Amino acid sequence: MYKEKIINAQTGEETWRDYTKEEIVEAQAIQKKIDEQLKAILEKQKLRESALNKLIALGLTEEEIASL
Amino acid sequence: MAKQTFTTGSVLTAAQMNSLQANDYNWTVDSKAASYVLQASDAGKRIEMNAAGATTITVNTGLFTAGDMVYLSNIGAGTCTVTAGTATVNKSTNASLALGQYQSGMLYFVSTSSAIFFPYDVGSSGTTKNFTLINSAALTGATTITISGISNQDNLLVTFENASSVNGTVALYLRINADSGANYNYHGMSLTGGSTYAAGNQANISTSNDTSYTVGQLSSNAASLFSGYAMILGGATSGVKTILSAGSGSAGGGNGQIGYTTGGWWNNSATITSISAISSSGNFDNGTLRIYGSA
Repeated sequence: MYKEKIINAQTGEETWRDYTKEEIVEAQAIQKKIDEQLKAILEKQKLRESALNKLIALGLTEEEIASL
Repeated sequence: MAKQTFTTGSVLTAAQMNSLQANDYNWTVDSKAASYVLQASDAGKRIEMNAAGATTITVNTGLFTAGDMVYLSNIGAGTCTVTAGTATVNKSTNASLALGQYQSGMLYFVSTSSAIFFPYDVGSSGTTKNFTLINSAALTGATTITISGISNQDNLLVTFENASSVNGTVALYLRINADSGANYNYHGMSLTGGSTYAAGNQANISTSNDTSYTVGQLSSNAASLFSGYAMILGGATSGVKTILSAGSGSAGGGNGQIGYTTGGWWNNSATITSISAISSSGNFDNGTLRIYGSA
């Protein structure tokens, strides 16, 4: 699944190799961090959206909400 | 006329005197069409390289003495690089050992094993150096695409055109010389495409000692495309390499794409020999990676 394609700019030769076990572990750790960061952002946005809906339900206008 | 040693009783002929005089006013030209290793007899000559492809002029120890000079010029289209063989070749910080077409310089020996190269026209024009395409690679079929065989490139422009991974929520990042050490530092602006607007979507990014240089992120949708660039400066010299980068993923029907505009540096003194474009997850399945360089 994890592969590297290496192209030699001098000769044009293409070689392929599989990631090492250590490189796969590192790549998966990076991806996990990216997923967690995005999840945190989206959860925060979901909370905000929920709060805005509640304010609208209380009768506040969009202008009033924006002024908060 | 090759240099020779005169001793008491030696006869300097008229022909030799004329040759000496001629060389003094019009240095002997020795044309080369391929890479060349300097010989002792080259002292006081002009080595004129004329080749369509890249060539080298190699400098070895034990052939010249202090004060010897060799004039090196290149009239060919291929870049000719003055290369230290067994001898040391020094130059000023801003000078280059690479001679483009119609460039020249003087190789001055300070000892039998050490020379200084004085290029004649470095920086004289005051104009931006030309960039040429080093390689253009399809971003498909691999998680990492590496362009190797890069040499003597002071400045490198790396561009991503519509890069994509088979997965969504994927960061695209760069590594230099396959270095996965904590040597990448970047700071600047981050914009995240969320499902709704939030002030926090616009943020700063301040990353020190990372194991790669992130240029942006694809959205949660695998159809998201990324375009961007990184300009890498100082690639052919020692010292840290500065990096200027910008790019963003498209929404592609999802969200969570991130655009970065950053400046930073690769904390490594090695000259640049390869650039890797990496997808944090899944093989690339679209796009073009291009690397332009200027010597």
